[in-house]
Amino acid sequence: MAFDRFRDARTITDGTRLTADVCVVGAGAAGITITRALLRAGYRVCLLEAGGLSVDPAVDALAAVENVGIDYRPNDARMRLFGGTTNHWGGHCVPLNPIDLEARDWIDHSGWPFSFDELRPYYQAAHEVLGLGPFDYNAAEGAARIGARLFDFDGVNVATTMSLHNRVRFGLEFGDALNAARNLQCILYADVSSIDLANAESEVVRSVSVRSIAGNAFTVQARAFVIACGGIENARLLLASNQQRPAGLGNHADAVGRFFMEHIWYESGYIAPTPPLATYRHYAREVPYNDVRARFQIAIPPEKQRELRISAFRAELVEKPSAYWETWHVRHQGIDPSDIGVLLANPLKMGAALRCREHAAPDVFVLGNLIEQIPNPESRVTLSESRDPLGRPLARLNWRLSRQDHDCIFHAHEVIASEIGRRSVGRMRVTMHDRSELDLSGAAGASHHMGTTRMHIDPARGVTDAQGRVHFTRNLYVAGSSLFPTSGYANPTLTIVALALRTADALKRQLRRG
Amino acid sequence: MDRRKLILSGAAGAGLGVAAYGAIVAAGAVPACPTEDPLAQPADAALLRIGARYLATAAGAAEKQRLSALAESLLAHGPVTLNAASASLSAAAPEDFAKGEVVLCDGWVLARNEARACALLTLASQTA
Ligand SMILES: Cc1cc2nc3c(=O)[nH]c(=O)nc-3n(C[C@H](O)[C@H](O)[C@H](O)COP(=O)(O)OP(=O)(O)OC[C@H]3O[C@@H](n4cnc5c(N)ncnc54)[C@H](O)[C@@H]3O)c2cc1C
Repeated sequence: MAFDRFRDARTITDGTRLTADVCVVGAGAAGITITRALLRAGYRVCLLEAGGLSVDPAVDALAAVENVGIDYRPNDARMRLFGGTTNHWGGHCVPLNPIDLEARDWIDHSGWPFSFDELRPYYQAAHEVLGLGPFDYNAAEGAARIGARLFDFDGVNVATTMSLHNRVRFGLEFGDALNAARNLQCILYADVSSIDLANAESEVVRSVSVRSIAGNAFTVQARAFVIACGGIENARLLLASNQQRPAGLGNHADAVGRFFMEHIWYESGYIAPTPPLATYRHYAREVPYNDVRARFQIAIPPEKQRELRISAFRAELVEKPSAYWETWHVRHQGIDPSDIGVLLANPLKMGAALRCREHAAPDVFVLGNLIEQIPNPESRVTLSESRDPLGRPLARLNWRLSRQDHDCIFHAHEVIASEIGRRSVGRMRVTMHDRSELDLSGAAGASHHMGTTRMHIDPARGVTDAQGRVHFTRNLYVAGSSLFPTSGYANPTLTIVALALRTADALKRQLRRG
Repeated sequence: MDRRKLILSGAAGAGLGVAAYGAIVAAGAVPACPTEDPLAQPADAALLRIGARYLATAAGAAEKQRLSALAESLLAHGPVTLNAASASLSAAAPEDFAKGEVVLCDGWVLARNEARACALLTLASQTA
């Protein structure tokens, strides 16, 4: 093992009882962030990670997901090893917008328990964790700084946004410092099976039960616990901790696992550009920016979202061959005879597209959208009938989209297409259908699992309070994007880290109070 | 000489305005490499398809009649006049976009007058 002070759960004697001030479950972006904050404050932390230092199929089998909703591959979207999913994330970072945290009357279940201003200092601190430089996402200034020319959008209907990129792999980045920390016990291959209250009536969590693939089991006792296992496993663990509360922990309002949200990744339109294409290309790839990289996107500004009563919508551009695109749609979205007609009108081009597939010469810019999903209680994680090799119920995922999602996407496309025409920079084709039935075939997720343990100050409407503490418990916290009541279009990890730092502050206050 | 071909290729190039023509043709079914000789270009299926969809879904009966009559009377005068007519329709595109006069045809979001120009081509191709 490269980190010589980390322990291996497989070698811990059966029945051992370990202790710490705080036990953090899961060593991904959220868990490592909280752990570091608590270590710096001098607390003794026990960090339990289900995986080791590399991918292990035996460990992966402990968290296979039964997928029953939209065609989706959640297992490919997570990594169960030290550093978590940041071992293969993209590193794209952008904060939520203030409107994303508001209760919007056209989006049921929207509204965070605090405003953007509350998050701002934590975003700044998260920027340091992620090595992103100053917390500044002004696209016009950013473009000016690197001499990039952006579209002259009016900013009212359509605006340019900017994201920053730095692929910090949390395990690699912070592993050495964690290994050196004398107040940390980091245990790999430590799969937490349940969270145990002191007794059935108690609101105090006393310990977590840990198992390893070697078959041994032990417990960790602590003053406080943080569950940071990712957006699906957080719900699974709370639901599976049902020995004392039959519905599971935090599930008093039947909210654990509900409201599963993804950022809808939907390539549903393309722009046929008018040359020159230099401006387009700033929206189609990352460019060096300060010490990191930046990318520009096309988005619907908050006031337009309000006017149209739609969710948050952002598109980056992906340069692709149009004929391949047309053939993709014919294959995936039902065959329209006139599509075939258009394809056959140019057999040479179609032949090239079929032969070269996406490598045919690009001639259009496809909108690669990251879209806020409308919170939907029927979109959910439950416990499956199937069991993992240790006999524990697997997670069952039923990811669902709604008609409102479809309509929001369609309206956003119309607005962007009109603006492209108005600016005379090309024409846009919307390739999704405005049919009466819900049709989002081809919609995928962005590997962002959110919403399953949503925050709400009212216990009747959420799983945790505004600090991430599970309602009706005194010392159990959740960290990660499962806390998000809504998602905006922002890639989640910057917000995960910001929230984790905020929860760490709340935890420290609680620990200080004793 | 194939009269229909001349009308379509000439009208597509001259009539739709640089932005829309270049864009749609590039993304449509024809290679984005117009030759000097308009006769050598294939009929532009994408533009005809837009025209057909406009007539089928976005144009009212009265407008359809007006466009048919216009196509016929212009055809009587030969291709140059048709080119000029569709060019003037498409020149109105920026104004249409500014006023929000846009239509969705075959997925393309176009200025109404651009779609009308395509419709004119479609009608002319059917009449010729
Ligand atoms: C291909 C890909 C690209 C991505 N790109 C981006 C991007 O560009 N920008 C962005 O913001 N986000 C991106 N993401 C999402 C990002 O990776 C996640 O948001 C982030 O890693 C979540 O952090 P987390 O700590 O909540 O969960 P994770 O990083 O998944 O960590 C959870 C940890 O908990 C452990 N664990 C789970 N269950 C247990 C248990 N019972 N006991 C003990 N340990 C357990 C797991 O092994 C894992 O190590 C991407 C994801 C993927 C898959």
